[in-house]
Amino acid sequence: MLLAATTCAALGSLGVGWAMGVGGSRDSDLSAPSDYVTSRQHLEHGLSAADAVRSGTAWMDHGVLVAAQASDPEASNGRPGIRLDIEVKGASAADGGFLASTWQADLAQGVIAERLAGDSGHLADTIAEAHIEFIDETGDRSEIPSGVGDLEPGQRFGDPAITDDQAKAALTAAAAKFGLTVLEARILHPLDRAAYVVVELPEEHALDGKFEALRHALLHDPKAFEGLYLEVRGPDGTPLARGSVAFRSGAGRIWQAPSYADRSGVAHG
Amino acid sequence: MRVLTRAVASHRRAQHSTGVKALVQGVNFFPGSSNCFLYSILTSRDTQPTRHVEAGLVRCNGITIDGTCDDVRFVEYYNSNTYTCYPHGTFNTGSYYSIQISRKTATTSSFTAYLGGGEYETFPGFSTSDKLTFIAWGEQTGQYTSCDGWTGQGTFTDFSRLYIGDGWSYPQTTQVRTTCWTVGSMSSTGDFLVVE
Repeated sequence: MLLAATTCAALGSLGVGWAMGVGGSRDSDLSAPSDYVTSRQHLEHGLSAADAVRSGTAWMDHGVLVAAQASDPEASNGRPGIRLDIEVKGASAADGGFLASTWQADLAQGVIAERLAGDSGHLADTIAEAHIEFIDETGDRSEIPSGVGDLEPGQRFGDPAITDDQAKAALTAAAAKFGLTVLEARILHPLDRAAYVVVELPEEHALDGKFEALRHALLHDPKAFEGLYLEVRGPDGTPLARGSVAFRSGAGRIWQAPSYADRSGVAHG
Repeated sequence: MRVLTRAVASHRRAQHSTGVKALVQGVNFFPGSSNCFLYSILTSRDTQPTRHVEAGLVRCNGITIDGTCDDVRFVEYYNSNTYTCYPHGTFNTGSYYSIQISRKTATTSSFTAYLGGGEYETFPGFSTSDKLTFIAWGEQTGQYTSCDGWTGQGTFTDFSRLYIGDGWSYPQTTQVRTTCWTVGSMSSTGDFLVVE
């Protein structure tokens, strides 16, 4: 059964103040969340596949989610868990434009995995196959390479007592330290909180070698967001880089304009 | 001094194979600041648009691969537009890990990554008529103007290529590509090391 999107993501105005960060991280590496839950009650875990897909995508933006479906995986795969298909739509696939939409699918996949996992389940054992299809504004479809990370369930990101306005103010402040103007900052709520950020450079080389440093600063340490979409635009508004991370599915994606790729500071294989 | 776009050490095997595998050991990892060390297997489509599937071990210094992969076994896909990485659990320095990238059938136009014998991501866009290169390598990310400031060593054993129908075999000939690194000669059973 295909499930349609039902709700919009939370939007809010910029606020002030910042006190995010709870507990101690289990690891000091850049992949560590801010904490792990001691009880998985709030994750609504142990749902059926259909219910997990329905609730796991309910937070996604209207206009992004087209459909989501759980089914049996290919027999040849041999891994436990469901096959998950998510269709999303958005702006042109060129210049990494699809990442803003596929990021929400990556986040939803992580929420669904959390809700499918039993008390002792491992996220990689809940979704055997993940497929994301992107539909651009002309109706063209493309398969987005997708997978399932081996991740521990129960990650917590940020302090639930922090308001969205405070979170957005912190994002703006972090970007300001790099001399950047935030064109758009939005907070979404897959399970905890995820951030969508678009910044503009004051001059072409303002972020040379610093894309990852900016991303790290926006995410905070320990990590205050379960995902981040970061779009960097040049002084003329041209996109230079788009990166998306979703820490419950493990998906990390990066697109860079050829003119920026050699000076971005992004690491890849 | 010449800018090194990427410091790598590899044994390469060109086209016609349908897969590649090795046991990969990271002996040590000391990447430079804001860079990563990878010991990995890579299948690369050399004609435009270029693509690759890479799987192996990565440790980083103040950065991650593609935003989410650090200190993990990883699988990465590049489609000439976007890099995508998935982390697949921690690993121990000094231990060997089975890494494989192969087609499921001789006519399948995708490659699947296997870690420790488990099947992971499958990526499209590799026609059977494509010119492909199969690589086992050590890699330091980033751009460098010298070979100083970072060191590492990795070991590969049982570096093999797959011809579906004929099974696995050790390459009889390989190409060696190296920048900064030293690449050891390969034994008759596909064993070699890379050292920087």
